[in-house]
Amino acid sequence: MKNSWTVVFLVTIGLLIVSIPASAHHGTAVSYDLSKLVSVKGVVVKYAWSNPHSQLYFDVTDDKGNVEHWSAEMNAPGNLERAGFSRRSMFDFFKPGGDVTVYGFRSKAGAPVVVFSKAVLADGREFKSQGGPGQID
Amino acid sequence: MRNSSARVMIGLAVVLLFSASAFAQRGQRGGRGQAPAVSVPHDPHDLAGIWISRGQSLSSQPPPMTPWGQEQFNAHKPSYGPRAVVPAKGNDPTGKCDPLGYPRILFFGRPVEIIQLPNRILELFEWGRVLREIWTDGRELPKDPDPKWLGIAVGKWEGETFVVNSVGFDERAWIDHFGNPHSEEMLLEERYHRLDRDTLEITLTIDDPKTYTKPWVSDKQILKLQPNESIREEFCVPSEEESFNQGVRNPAGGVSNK
Repeated sequence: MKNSWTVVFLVTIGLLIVSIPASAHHGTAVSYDLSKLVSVKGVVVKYAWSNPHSQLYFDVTDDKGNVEHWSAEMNAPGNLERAGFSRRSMFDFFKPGGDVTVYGFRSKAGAPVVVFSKAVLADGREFKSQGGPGQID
Repeated sequence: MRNSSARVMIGLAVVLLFSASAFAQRGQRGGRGQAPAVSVPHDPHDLAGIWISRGQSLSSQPPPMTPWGQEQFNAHKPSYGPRAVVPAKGNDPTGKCDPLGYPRILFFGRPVEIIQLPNRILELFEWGRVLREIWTDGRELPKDPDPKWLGIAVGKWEGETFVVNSVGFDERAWIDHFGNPHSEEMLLEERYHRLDRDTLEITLTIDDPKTYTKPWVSDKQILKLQPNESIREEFCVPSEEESFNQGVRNPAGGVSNK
């Protein structure tokens, strides 16, 4: 009984992985550890609405006051527009100086870079990835 | 034992249904209000509309390569597929916003609008707003063409199939994301067949003896009509791509910026 459900679980994970379109995005599968979702709390420095990748830059301060500069690879503006977002709405969401918790999959090289999954602001508002390997739901 | 196997099978079936559904929903993003696909009248000689393909290459396996073809293939460092390297260490032309060329742009996952004019069929690709012209005015292909990113194309109807022949391709372009090469001598034939109102089938054949030991005949590429879509502005902007490379892609790939 337990073994058969273990098999189902493992097969489930395997099928879900292969269900992700292989062409999802240029190089993300090799640059990021897509098996482990991480979250990082920081302060928005800049959101870049640029082609073909938008980007989020944010600073993370540790207990000793050391600041680490993080970045996140995000959807192309065309994909965001198709999902109903605009440059203005993105700038309004990611305001410089605002507290943000960023969820994503971190660089395999250990750099402070993620492929973006979700951001949650201090007031609870959320923005989620609109497709690609960072999308989690 | 039998019960356990049954549970595994049921679990598999549920997962496959879920996966197929999830993938279909992803594929339909932006295609709001899709109409049913079958039994709707259509003119098979009318290819006009906005279409999208989910294909990634002609087929999963190209024909055996010639030594020259293999040399090109080995020199190409893609960031997709089994030979993928981090983009910062690869040389995919799209990493610097170089043109994708044809047929690779067909496999880029963005819509293409087909526009029919009296003397040409135009293909307007959203990615880069690239315009490909397929001449239908009876002209012949050039004998010694200069290479172009999209090649030079002529087309004609054979019954309900629109047949396109192209020559003069710039060999700096890759055939697909996986770094499969072609030479300037590549001949490309495409056969377009509108199966129903919402489905366009394209079969591509690459004849490039400098690169492949035999013609590469594609799987049937299926494009779906996107009746409520529009072709958006989506350029690969070199300066913005460079900024992205410096701020995200290079460090993510473990490469220090210069």
